[in-house]
Amino acid sequence: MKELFTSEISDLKKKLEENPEPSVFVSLADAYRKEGYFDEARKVCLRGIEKNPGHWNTHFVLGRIYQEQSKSREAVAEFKKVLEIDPENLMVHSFLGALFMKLEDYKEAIDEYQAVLTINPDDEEAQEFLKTAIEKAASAPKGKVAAKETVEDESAKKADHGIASITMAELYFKQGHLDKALEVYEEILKKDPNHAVARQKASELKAAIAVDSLGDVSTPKLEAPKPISKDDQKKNADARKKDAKFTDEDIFQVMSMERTKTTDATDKKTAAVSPKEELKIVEKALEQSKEAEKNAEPSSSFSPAQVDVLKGTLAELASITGIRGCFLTSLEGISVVSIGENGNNEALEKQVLLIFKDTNQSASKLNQGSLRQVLVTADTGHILLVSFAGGVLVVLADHQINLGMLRLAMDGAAKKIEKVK
Amino acid sequence: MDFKKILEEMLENVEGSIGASLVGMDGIVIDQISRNNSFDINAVGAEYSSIIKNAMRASSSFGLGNTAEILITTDKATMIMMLVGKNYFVALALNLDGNLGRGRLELKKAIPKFEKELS
Repeated sequence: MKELFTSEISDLKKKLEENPEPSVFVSLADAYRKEGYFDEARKVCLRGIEKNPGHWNTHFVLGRIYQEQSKSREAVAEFKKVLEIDPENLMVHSFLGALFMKLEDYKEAIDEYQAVLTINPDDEEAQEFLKTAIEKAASAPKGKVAAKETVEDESAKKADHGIASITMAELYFKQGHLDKALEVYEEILKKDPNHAVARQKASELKAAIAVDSLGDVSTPKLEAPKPISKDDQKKNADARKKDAKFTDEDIFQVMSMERTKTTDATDKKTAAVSPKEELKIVEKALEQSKEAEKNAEPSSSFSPAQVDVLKGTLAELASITGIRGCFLTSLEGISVVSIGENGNNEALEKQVLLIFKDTNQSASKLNQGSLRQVLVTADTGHILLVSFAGGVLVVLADHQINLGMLRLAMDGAAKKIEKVK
Repeated sequence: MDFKKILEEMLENVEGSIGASLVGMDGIVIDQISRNNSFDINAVGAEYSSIIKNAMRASSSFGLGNTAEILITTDKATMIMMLVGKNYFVALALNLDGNLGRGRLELKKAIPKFEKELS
Protein backbone atom coordinates (compact mmCIF):
# COMPACT_ATOMS: atom_id res chain seq x y z
CA MET A 1 0.00 0.00 0.00
CA LYS A 2 2.87 2.31 0.84
CA GLU A 3 4.30 1.89 -2.65
CA LEU A 4 0.95 2.71 -4.20
CA PHE A 5 0.71 5.84 -2.13
CA THR A 6 4.23 6.92 -2.97
CA SER A 7 3.49 6.44 -6.64
CA GLU A 8 0.23 8.36 -6.13
CA ILE A 9 2.20 11.28 -4.69
CA SER A 10 4.59 11.26 -7.68
CA ASP A 11 1.65 11.22 -10.10
CA LEU A 12 -0.06 14.07 -8.30
CA LYS A 13 3.14 16.15 -8.19
CA LYS A 14 3.47 15.74 -11.94
CA LYS A 15 -0.20 16.57 -12.42
CA LEU A 16 0.18 19.72 -10.31
CA GLU A 17 3.09 20.93 -12.42
CA GLU A 18 1.06 20.45 -15.58
CA ASN A 19 -2.24 21.70 -14.23
CA PRO A 20 -2.24 23.65 -10.94
CA GLU A 21 -5.98 23.24 -10.34
CA PRO A 22 -7.32 23.66 -6.75
CA SER A 23 -8.46 20.04 -6.66
CA VAL A 24 -4.93 18.81 -7.47
CA PHE A 25 -3.46 20.84 -4.59
CA VAL A 26 -6.03 19.22 -2.30
CA SER A 27 -5.36 15.68 -3.57
CA LEU A 28 -1.57 16.03 -3.28
CA ALA A 29 -1.72 17.61 0.19
CA ASP A 30 -4.08 14.89 1.39
CA ALA A 31 -1.87 12.15 -0.07
CA TYR A 32 1.12 13.61 1.83
CA ARG A 33 -0.99 13.85 4.99
CA LYS A 34 -2.08 10.23 4.80
CA GLU A 35 1.56 9.18 4.46
CA GLY A 36 2.52 11.31 7.48
CA TYR A 37 4.54 13.88 5.49
CA PHE A 38 2.93 16.76 7.35
CA ASP A 39 5.42 19.49 6.41
CA GLU A 40 5.10 18.73 2.69
CA ALA A 41 1.31 18.51 3.04
CA ARG A 42 1.18 21.87 4.82
CA LYS A 43 3.38 23.55 2.18
CA VAL A 44 1.19 22.26 -0.65
CA CYS A 45 -1.92 23.54 1.15
CA LEU A 46 -0.40 27.00 1.71
CA ARG A 47 0.56 27.20 -1.98
CA GLY A 48 -2.95 26.11 -2.93
CA ILE A 49 -4.56 28.69 -0.64
CA GLU A 50 -2.32 31.42 -2.05
CA LYS A 51 -3.47 30.59 -5.58
CA ASN A 52 -7.13 29.83 -4.77
CA PRO A 53 -8.09 31.45 -1.45
CA GLY A 54 -11.79 30.59 -1.76
CA HIS A 55 -11.35 26.83 -2.13
CA TRP A 56 -12.65 25.35 1.13
CA ASN A 57 -11.23 21.87 0.58
CA THR A 58 -7.68 23.18 0.92
CA HIS A 59 -8.49 24.75 4.30
CA PHE A 60 -10.14 21.49 5.29
CA VAL A 61 -7.05 19.41 4.51
CA LEU A 62 -4.82 21.97 6.26
CA GLY A 63 -7.09 21.72 9.29
CA ARG A 64 -6.75 17.91 9.26
CA ILE A 65 -2.94 18.24 9.08
CA TYR A 66 -2.84 20.55 12.11
CA GLN A 67 -5.31 18.30 13.90
CA GLU A 68 -3.14 15.24 13.38
CA GLN A 69 -0.10 17.22 14.54
CA SER A 70 -2.04 18.14 17.71
CA LYS A 71 -1.89 21.83 16.74
CA SER A 72 -5.46 22.32 17.86
CA ARG A 73 -5.62 26.11 17.71
CA GLU A 74 -4.26 26.20 14.16
CA ALA A 75 -6.70 23.43 13.18
CA VAL A 76 -9.61 25.40 14.67
CA ALA A 77 -8.60 28.48 12.64
CA GLU A 78 -8.57 26.49 9.38
CA PHE A 79 -11.86 24.71 10.04
CA LYS A 80 -13.48 28.07 10.86
CA LYS A 81 -12.41 29.24 7.39
CA VAL A 82 -14.13 26.21 5.88
CA LEU A 83 -17.35 27.15 7.69
CA GLU A 84 -17.17 30.68 6.27
CA ILE A 85 -17.48 29.09 2.82
CA ASP A 86 -19.55 26.03 3.68
CA PRO A 87 -21.46 26.75 6.93
CA GLU A 88 -23.31 23.41 6.95
CA ASN A 89 -20.28 21.16 6.75
CA LEU A 90 -21.19 18.44 9.22
CA MET A 91 -17.74 16.90 9.49
CA VAL A 92 -16.09 20.25 10.19
CA HIS A 93 -18.56 21.03 13.01
CA SER A 94 -17.85 17.60 14.41
CA PHE A 95 -14.06 18.05 14.21
CA LEU A 96 -14.38 21.48 15.83
CA GLY A 97 -16.39 19.95 18.65
CA ALA A 98 -13.60 17.44 19.31
CA LEU A 99 -10.92 20.12 19.10
CA PHE A 100 -12.70 22.42 21.55
CA MET A 101 -13.10 19.49 23.95
CA LYS A 102 -9.37 18.96 23.72
CA LEU A 103 -8.81 22.67 24.36
CA GLU A 104 -11.24 22.40 27.32
CA ASP A 105 -13.32 25.14 25.74
CA TYR A 106 -16.60 23.42 26.52
CA LYS A 107 -18.83 26.34 25.61
CA GLU A 108 -17.52 26.31 22.04
CA ALA A 109 -17.67 22.49 21.95
CA ILE A 110 -21.34 22.63 22.95
CA ASP A 111 -22.01 25.14 20.16
CA GLU A 112 -20.34 22.89 17.59
CA TYR A 113 -22.17 19.71 18.63
CA GLN A 114 -25.42 21.66 18.67
CA ALA A 115 -24.63 22.77 15.11
CA VAL A 116 -24.13 19.11 14.13
CA LEU A 117 -27.48 18.20 15.69
CA THR A 118 -29.24 21.12 14.00
CA ILE A 119 -28.15 19.72 10.63
CA ASN A 120 -28.64 16.09 11.59
CA PRO A 121 -30.77 15.61 14.74
CA ASP A 122 -30.35 11.79 14.58
CA ASP A 123 -26.56 11.83 15.02
CA GLU A 124 -26.24 9.66 18.14
CA GLU A 125 -22.49 10.22 18.42
CA ALA A 126 -22.97 14.00 18.49
CA GLN A 127 -25.75 13.61 21.10
CA GLU A 128 -23.31 11.68 23.29
CA PHE A 129 -20.50 14.18 22.82
CA LEU A 130 -22.87 17.07 23.53
CA LYS A 131 -23.91 15.41 26.79
CA THR A 132 -20.23 14.99 27.79
CA ALA A 133 -19.47 18.62 26.88
CA ILE A 134 -22.39 19.88 28.97
CA GLU A 135 -21.28 17.73 31.95
CA LYS A 136 -17.70 18.97 31.59
CA ALA A 137 -18.86 22.59 31.33
CA ALA A 138 -20.94 22.19 34.50
CA SER A 139 -18.00 20.79 36.49
CA ALA A 140 -15.38 23.23 35.10
CA PRO A 141 -14.11 25.97 37.47
CA LYS A 142 -16.05 29.22 37.21
CA GLY A 143 -14.51 31.94 35.08
CA LYS A 144 -12.65 29.47 32.96
CA VAL A 145 -13.37 30.28 29.31
CA ALA A 146 -10.86 28.25 27.34
CA ALA A 147 -8.00 26.47 29.03
CA LYS A 148 -4.70 25.87 27.33
CA GLU A 149 -4.34 22.68 25.40
CA THR A 150 -3.64 19.65 27.57
CA VAL A 151 -1.31 16.97 26.34
CA GLU A 152 -3.47 13.91 26.89
CA ASP A 153 -7.03 14.66 27.93
CA GLU A 154 -8.88 11.37 28.15
CA SER A 155 -12.31 12.73 27.36
CA ALA A 156 -10.94 14.61 24.37
CA LYS A 157 -9.31 11.45 23.13
CA LYS A 158 -12.67 9.73 23.35
CA ALA A 159 -14.25 12.57 21.43
CA ASP A 160 -11.63 12.40 18.74
CA HIS A 161 -13.72 9.82 16.83
CA GLY A 162 -12.80 6.61 15.02
CA ILE A 163 -10.53 8.23 12.43
CA ALA A 164 -8.21 9.50 15.14
CA SER A 165 -8.10 6.07 16.81
CA ILE A 166 -7.02 4.32 13.64
CA THR A 167 -4.46 7.07 13.11
CA MET A 168 -3.23 6.58 16.65
CA ALA A 169 -2.82 2.84 16.10
CA GLU A 170 -0.97 3.48 12.84
CA LEU A 171 1.36 5.91 14.60
CA TYR A 172 2.16 3.34 17.29
CA PHE A 173 2.73 0.77 14.58
CA LYS A 174 5.08 3.06 12.62
CA GLN A 175 7.03 3.67 15.83
CA GLY A 176 7.36 -0.11 16.34
CA HIS A 177 5.02 -0.26 19.38
CA LEU A 178 3.07 -3.24 18.10
CA ASP A 179 1.52 -4.07 21.47
CA LYS A 180 0.20 -0.51 21.90
CA ALA A 181 -1.13 -0.49 18.33
CA LEU A 182 -2.91 -3.80 19.06
CA GLU A 183 -4.44 -2.32 22.23
CA VAL A 184 -5.89 0.58 20.21
CA TYR A 185 -7.32 -1.74 17.54
CA GLU A 186 -8.87 -3.92 20.27
CA GLU A 187 -10.37 -0.82 21.85
CA ILE A 188 -11.94 0.11 18.50
CA LEU A 189 -13.28 -3.42 18.14
CA LYS A 190 -14.86 -3.26 21.58
CA LYS A 191 -16.85 -0.22 20.44
CA ASP A 192 -17.49 -1.53 16.93
CA PRO A 193 -17.05 -5.30 16.52
CA ASN A 194 -17.75 -4.98 12.77
CA HIS A 195 -14.87 -2.58 12.13
CA ALA A 196 -13.21 -4.41 9.20
CA VAL A 197 -9.89 -2.57 9.21
CA ALA A 198 -9.41 -2.83 12.97
CA ARG A 199 -10.20 -6.55 12.86
CA GLN A 200 -7.79 -7.22 10.00
CA LYS A 201 -4.97 -5.13 11.54
CA ALA A 202 -5.47 -6.67 14.98
CA SER A 203 -5.20 -10.15 13.48
CA GLU A 204 -2.01 -9.22 11.59
CA LEU A 205 -0.52 -7.68 14.71
CA LYS A 206 -1.31 -10.73 16.86
CA ALA A 207 0.53 -12.93 14.34
CA ALA A 208 3.46 -10.50 14.22
CA ILE A 209 3.68 -10.29 18.01
CA ALA A 210 3.60 -14.10 18.22
CA VAL A 211 6.50 -14.33 15.78
CA ASP A 212 8.30 -11.48 17.55
CA SER A 213 8.18 -13.41 20.78
CA LEU A 214 10.64 -15.85 19.19
CA GLY A 215 13.46 -13.43 18.86
CA ASP A 216 14.64 -10.02 17.82
CA VAL A 217 11.85 -7.70 18.86
CA SER A 218 13.43 -4.68 17.24
CA THR A 219 13.01 -6.15 13.76
CA PRO A 220 9.74 -4.98 12.27
CA LYS A 221 7.86 -8.01 10.96
CA LEU A 222 4.93 -6.25 9.35
CA GLU A 223 6.04 -4.30 6.33
CA ALA A 224 4.33 -2.74 3.34
CA PRO A 225 3.70 -5.50 0.79
CA LYS A 226 6.46 -5.86 -1.77
CA PRO A 227 5.71 -6.51 -5.45
CA ILE A 228 5.28 -10.25 -5.98
CA SER A 229 7.50 -11.73 -8.67
CA LYS A 230 6.05 -14.10 -11.26
CA ASP A 231 7.98 -16.99 -9.72
CA ASP A 232 6.54 -16.22 -6.29
CA GLN A 233 3.05 -15.94 -7.74
CA LYS A 234 3.45 -19.40 -9.25
CA LYS A 235 4.75 -20.76 -5.94
CA ASN A 236 1.76 -19.23 -4.14
CA ALA A 237 -0.66 -20.70 -6.65
CA ASP A 238 0.93 -24.15 -6.28
CA ALA A 239 0.76 -23.87 -2.51
CA ARG A 240 -2.96 -23.06 -2.65
CA LYS A 241 -3.61 -26.18 -4.68
CA LYS A 242 -2.24 -28.29 -1.85
CA ASP A 243 -4.30 -29.60 1.01
CA ALA A 244 -5.20 -27.10 3.76
CA LYS A 245 -2.89 -28.91 6.21
CA PHE A 246 0.68 -27.63 6.25
CA THR A 247 3.38 -29.70 4.71
CA ASP A 248 6.68 -30.44 6.44
CA GLU A 249 8.31 -28.27 3.80
CA ASP A 250 6.12 -25.28 4.78
CA ILE A 251 6.97 -25.67 8.46
CA PHE A 252 10.65 -26.20 7.77
CA GLN A 253 10.79 -23.10 5.56
CA VAL A 254 9.21 -20.79 8.14
CA MET A 255 11.26 -22.29 10.96
CA SER A 256 14.43 -21.75 8.96
CA MET A 257 13.44 -18.13 8.34
CA GLU A 258 12.80 -17.56 12.03
CA ARG A 259 16.04 -19.26 13.03
CA THR A 260 18.00 -17.06 10.62
CA LYS A 261 16.51 -14.03 12.32
CA THR A 262 17.36 -15.24 15.79
CA THR A 263 20.86 -16.69 15.50
CA ASP A 264 22.42 -13.55 16.93
CA ALA A 265 24.34 -14.75 19.99
CA THR A 266 23.46 -11.60 21.91
CA ASP A 267 19.78 -12.39 21.72
CA LYS A 268 18.97 -14.25 24.92
CA LYS A 269 15.29 -14.71 24.16
CA THR A 270 15.81 -17.35 21.52
CA ALA A 271 17.30 -19.78 23.98
CA ALA A 272 14.22 -19.48 26.16
CA VAL A 273 11.92 -20.87 23.45
CA SER A 274 11.76 -24.62 23.16
CA PRO A 275 11.55 -26.28 19.71
CA LYS A 276 8.02 -27.48 20.58
CA GLU A 277 6.88 -23.95 21.39
CA GLU A 278 8.59 -22.67 18.29
CA LEU A 279 6.75 -25.20 16.13
CA LYS A 280 3.43 -24.29 17.76
CA ILE A 281 3.92 -20.57 17.03
CA VAL A 282 4.98 -21.22 13.46
CA GLU A 283 1.99 -23.51 12.90
CA LYS A 284 -0.28 -20.78 14.25
CA ALA A 285 1.22 -18.16 11.93
CA LEU A 286 0.82 -20.47 8.93
CA GLU A 287 -2.74 -21.27 9.89
CA GLN A 288 -3.59 -17.55 10.01
CA SER A 289 -1.92 -17.00 6.67
CA LYS A 290 -3.83 -19.87 5.01
CA GLU A 291 -7.10 -18.70 6.57
CA ALA A 292 -6.56 -15.23 5.08
CA GLU A 293 -5.95 -16.76 1.65
CA LYS A 294 -9.10 -18.86 1.96
CA ASN A 295 -11.18 -15.76 2.72
CA ALA A 296 -9.80 -13.94 -0.31
CA GLU A 297 -11.25 -16.22 -2.94
CA PRO A 298 -11.13 -14.50 -6.30
CA SER A 299 -14.23 -14.68 -8.47
CA SER A 300 -12.79 -12.95 -11.53
CA SER A 301 -9.57 -12.67 -13.44
CA PHE A 302 -7.76 -11.08 -10.49
CA SER A 303 -4.90 -13.03 -8.92
CA PRO A 304 -5.08 -13.85 -5.17
CA ALA A 305 -2.42 -11.22 -4.48
CA GLN A 306 -4.47 -8.61 -6.36
CA VAL A 307 -7.62 -9.64 -4.50
CA ASP A 308 -5.72 -9.12 -1.24
CA VAL A 309 -4.82 -5.59 -2.26
CA LEU A 310 -8.40 -4.94 -3.38
CA LYS A 311 -9.75 -6.29 -0.09
CA GLY A 312 -7.37 -4.02 1.79
CA THR A 313 -8.45 -1.00 -0.26
CA LEU A 314 -12.13 -1.77 0.32
CA ALA A 315 -11.56 -2.43 4.03
CA GLU A 316 -9.84 0.96 4.28
CA LEU A 317 -12.81 2.57 2.58
CA ALA A 318 -15.28 0.67 4.77
CA SER A 319 -13.52 1.99 7.88
CA ILE A 320 -14.86 5.49 7.19
CA THR A 321 -17.62 6.24 9.67
CA GLY A 322 -20.99 5.91 7.98
CA ILE A 323 -20.06 3.43 5.25
CA ARG A 324 -22.25 0.32 5.49
CA GLY A 325 -20.63 -1.74 2.81
CA CYS A 326 -18.84 -1.67 -0.51
CA PHE A 327 -18.26 -3.99 -3.41
CA LEU A 328 -16.47 -4.21 -6.71
CA THR A 329 -18.15 -5.66 -9.72
CA SER A 330 -17.01 -6.04 -13.31
CA LEU A 331 -19.10 -4.60 -16.15
CA GLU A 332 -20.11 -8.17 -16.99
CA GLY A 333 -21.67 -8.42 -13.54
CA ILE A 334 -18.97 -10.62 -12.01
CA SER A 335 -18.48 -9.87 -8.33
CA VAL A 336 -14.82 -9.30 -7.49
CA VAL A 337 -14.69 -8.33 -3.80
CA SER A 338 -17.33 -7.25 -1.29
CA ILE A 339 -17.25 -6.01 2.29
CA GLY A 340 -20.13 -5.30 4.65
CA GLU A 341 -23.83 -5.06 3.83
CA ASN A 342 -25.37 -6.44 0.63
CA GLY A 343 -22.21 -8.21 -0.44
CA ASN A 344 -22.63 -10.97 -3.03
CA ASN A 345 -26.24 -10.03 -3.69
CA GLU A 346 -26.54 -10.63 -7.41
CA ALA A 347 -29.94 -8.98 -7.87
CA LEU A 348 -28.76 -5.74 -6.26
CA GLU A 349 -25.51 -5.78 -8.19
CA LYS A 350 -27.47 -6.10 -11.43
CA GLN A 351 -29.64 -3.10 -10.55
CA VAL A 352 -26.59 -1.01 -9.77
CA LEU A 353 -24.93 -2.04 -13.03
CA LEU A 354 -28.07 -1.09 -14.93
CA ILE A 355 -27.95 2.43 -13.50
CA PHE A 356 -24.28 2.69 -14.35
CA LYS A 357 -24.62 1.40 -17.91
CA ASP A 358 -27.69 3.56 -18.71
CA THR A 359 -26.02 6.66 -17.31
CA ASN A 360 -22.85 5.94 -19.22
CA GLN A 361 -24.81 5.58 -22.47
CA SER A 362 -26.68 8.83 -21.81
CA ALA A 363 -23.44 10.69 -21.04
CA SER A 364 -21.99 9.39 -24.28
CA LYS A 365 -25.08 10.44 -26.30
CA LEU A 366 -24.88 13.92 -24.78
CA ASN A 367 -21.16 14.26 -25.66
CA GLN A 368 -20.30 14.52 -21.97
CA GLY A 369 -17.35 12.13 -22.13
CA SER A 370 -17.04 9.11 -19.89
CA LEU A 371 -19.03 8.63 -16.73
CA ARG A 372 -17.03 9.07 -13.52
CA GLN A 373 -19.47 8.91 -10.62
CA VAL A 374 -23.15 8.47 -9.89
CA LEU A 375 -24.49 9.32 -6.45
CA VAL A 376 -28.03 8.35 -5.49
CA THR A 377 -29.33 9.91 -2.29
CA ALA A 378 -32.38 8.38 -0.66
CA ASP A 379 -34.25 8.88 2.62
CA THR A 380 -31.88 6.84 4.78
CA GLY A 381 -28.67 6.51 2.80
CA HIS A 382 -26.60 6.91 -0.33
CA ILE A 383 -25.45 4.64 -3.14
CA LEU A 384 -22.27 5.85 -4.79
CA LEU A 385 -20.92 4.30 -7.98
CA VAL A 386 -17.44 5.07 -9.28
CA SER A 387 -16.07 3.88 -12.59
CA PHE A 388 -12.73 2.10 -12.71
CA ALA A 389 -11.01 0.24 -15.54
CA GLY A 390 -13.42 -2.53 -16.46
CA GLY A 391 -15.80 -2.25 -13.55
CA VAL A 392 -17.74 -0.33 -10.95
CA LEU A 393 -16.94 0.37 -7.30
CA VAL A 394 -20.16 0.60 -5.28
CA VAL A 395 -20.48 2.05 -1.79
CA LEU A 396 -23.53 2.07 0.45
CA ALA A 397 -23.43 4.78 3.09
CA ASP A 398 -25.57 6.19 5.89
CA HIS A 399 -27.50 9.37 5.31
CA GLN A 400 -25.36 11.49 7.65
CA ILE A 401 -22.01 10.77 5.98
CA ASN A 402 -20.05 13.76 4.70
CA LEU A 403 -20.52 13.49 0.95
CA GLY A 404 -17.45 15.56 0.08
CA MET A 405 -15.19 13.28 2.10
CA LEU A 406 -16.93 10.19 0.73
CA ARG A 407 -16.38 11.25 -2.89
CA LEU A 408 -12.75 12.10 -2.13
CA ALA A 409 -12.20 8.71 -0.49
CA MET A 410 -13.95 6.93 -3.38
CA ASP A 411 -11.73 8.69 -5.91
CA GLY A 412 -8.64 7.62 -3.97
CA ALA A 413 -9.88 4.02 -3.74
CA ALA A 414 -10.76 3.92 -7.46
CA LYS A 415 -7.23 5.11 -8.34
CA LYS A 416 -5.69 2.36 -6.20
CA ILE A 417 -7.99 -0.23 -7.77
CA GLU A 418 -7.04 0.91 -11.27
CA LYS A 419 -3.38 0.45 -10.41
CA VAL A 420 -4.10 -3.11 -9.27
CA LYS A 421 -5.91 -3.85 -12.52
CA MET B 1 -46.23 30.16 -13.25
CA ASP B 2 -42.77 31.64 -13.48
CA PHE B 3 -40.57 28.56 -13.48
CA LYS B 4 -37.92 30.30 -15.56
CA LYS B 5 -37.47 32.96 -12.88
CA ILE B 6 -36.76 30.31 -10.24
CA LEU B 7 -34.32 28.56 -12.60
CA GLU B 8 -32.58 31.86 -13.42
CA GLU B 9 -32.22 32.67 -9.75
CA MET B 10 -30.54 29.30 -9.19
CA LEU B 11 -28.06 29.85 -12.01
CA GLU B 12 -27.19 33.33 -10.75
CA ASN B 13 -26.42 32.01 -7.28
CA VAL B 14 -24.29 29.04 -8.30
CA GLU B 15 -20.76 29.63 -9.51
CA GLY B 16 -19.92 27.48 -12.55
CA SER B 17 -23.51 26.59 -13.45
CA ILE B 18 -24.24 25.81 -17.11
CA GLY B 19 -27.98 25.29 -17.22
CA ALA B 20 -31.06 24.19 -15.32
CA SER B 21 -34.39 22.61 -16.17
CA LEU B 22 -37.64 21.44 -14.65
CA VAL B 23 -38.61 18.09 -16.14
CA GLY B 24 -41.54 15.70 -15.84
CA MET B 25 -40.82 12.08 -14.96
CA ASP B 26 -41.86 11.24 -18.52
CA GLY B 27 -38.79 13.17 -19.73
CA ILE B 28 -40.69 16.17 -21.10
CA VAL B 29 -39.08 19.49 -20.16
CA ILE B 30 -41.45 22.00 -18.58
CA ASP B 31 -39.01 24.91 -18.56
CA GLN B 32 -35.28 25.35 -18.96
CA ILE B 33 -32.50 27.89 -19.08
CA SER B 34 -28.98 27.45 -20.48
CA ARG B 35 -25.80 29.51 -20.45
CA ASN B 36 -23.89 27.26 -22.80
CA ASN B 37 -25.15 26.59 -26.33
CA SER B 38 -23.11 23.40 -26.68
CA PHE B 39 -24.90 21.89 -23.67
CA ASP B 40 -28.42 20.74 -24.55
CA ILE B 41 -30.25 20.89 -21.24
CA ASN B 42 -33.49 19.68 -22.91
CA ALA B 43 -31.82 16.46 -24.02
CA VAL B 44 -30.27 16.02 -20.58
CA GLY B 45 -33.68 16.01 -18.94
CA ALA B 46 -35.06 13.47 -21.36
CA GLU B 47 -32.00 11.20 -21.15
CA TYR B 48 -31.70 11.17 -17.41
CA SER B 49 -35.37 10.69 -16.52
CA SER B 50 -35.08 6.93 -17.09
CA ILE B 51 -32.00 6.84 -14.84
CA ILE B 52 -33.99 8.46 -12.06
CA LYS B 53 -36.55 5.66 -12.34
CA ASN B 54 -33.80 3.02 -12.13
CA ALA B 55 -32.27 4.80 -9.14
CA MET B 56 -35.66 4.86 -7.39
CA ARG B 57 -35.95 1.10 -7.82
CA ALA B 58 -32.38 0.53 -6.56
CA SER B 59 -32.86 2.75 -3.48
CA SER B 60 -35.95 0.80 -2.59
CA SER B 61 -34.20 -2.57 -3.15
CA PHE B 62 -31.29 -1.55 -0.92
CA GLY B 63 -33.78 -0.57 1.79
CA LEU B 64 -32.82 3.09 1.64
CA GLY B 65 -36.34 4.46 1.15
CA ASN B 66 -37.36 7.04 -1.44
CA THR B 67 -34.83 8.62 -3.78
CA ALA B 68 -34.37 12.33 -3.22
CA GLU B 69 -31.34 13.26 -5.30
CA ILE B 70 -29.01 11.99 -8.02
CA LEU B 71 -25.63 13.41 -8.85
CA ILE B 72 -23.84 12.42 -12.05
CA THR B 73 -20.25 13.37 -12.81
CA THR B 74 -18.80 12.90 -16.28
CA ASP B 75 -15.53 14.03 -17.86
CA LYS B 76 -17.10 17.37 -18.78
CA ALA B 77 -19.81 18.29 -16.29
CA THR B 78 -21.69 17.49 -13.11
CA MET B 79 -25.45 17.16 -13.09
CA ILE B 80 -27.51 17.41 -9.90
CA MET B 81 -31.10 16.24 -10.04
CA MET B 82 -33.61 16.49 -7.21
CA LEU B 83 -37.16 15.23 -7.15
CA VAL B 84 -40.00 17.76 -6.99
CA GLY B 85 -42.95 15.82 -5.63
CA LYS B 86 -43.57 12.46 -7.29
CA ASN B 87 -43.95 13.56 -10.89
CA TYR B 88 -41.19 16.07 -11.59
CA PHE B 89 -37.50 16.68 -11.08
CA VAL B 90 -35.26 19.71 -11.32
CA ALA B 91 -31.80 19.40 -12.88
CA LEU B 92 -28.82 21.70 -12.54
CA ALA B 93 -25.71 21.29 -14.70
CA LEU B 94 -22.35 22.60 -13.53
CA ASN B 95 -18.94 22.62 -15.10
CA LEU B 96 -16.34 20.56 -13.22
CA ASP B 97 -15.04 23.58 -11.30
CA GLY B 98 -18.54 24.65 -10.32
CA ASN B 99 -19.58 25.02 -6.70
CA LEU B 100 -21.31 21.71 -6.09
CA GLY B 101 -22.22 22.43 -2.47
CA ARG B 102 -23.85 25.70 -3.37
CA GLY B 103 -25.63 23.99 -6.25
CA ARG B 104 -27.21 21.41 -3.95
CA LEU B 105 -28.20 24.12 -1.47
CA GLU B 106 -29.84 26.28 -4.16
CA LEU B 107 -31.73 23.28 -5.55
CA LYS B 108 -33.00 22.41 -2.08
CA LYS B 109 -34.18 26.00 -1.66
CA ALA B 110 -35.88 25.99 -5.06
CA ILE B 111 -37.86 22.77 -4.55
CA PRO B 112 -40.58 24.27 -2.26
CA LYS B 113 -40.98 27.11 -4.76
CA PHE B 114 -41.54 24.67 -7.61
CA GLU B 115 -43.86 22.56 -5.47
CA LYS B 116 -45.90 25.65 -4.65
CA GLU B 117 -46.16 26.58 -8.32
CA LEU B 118 -47.08 23.04 -9.35
CA SER B 119 -49.71 22.45 -6.66
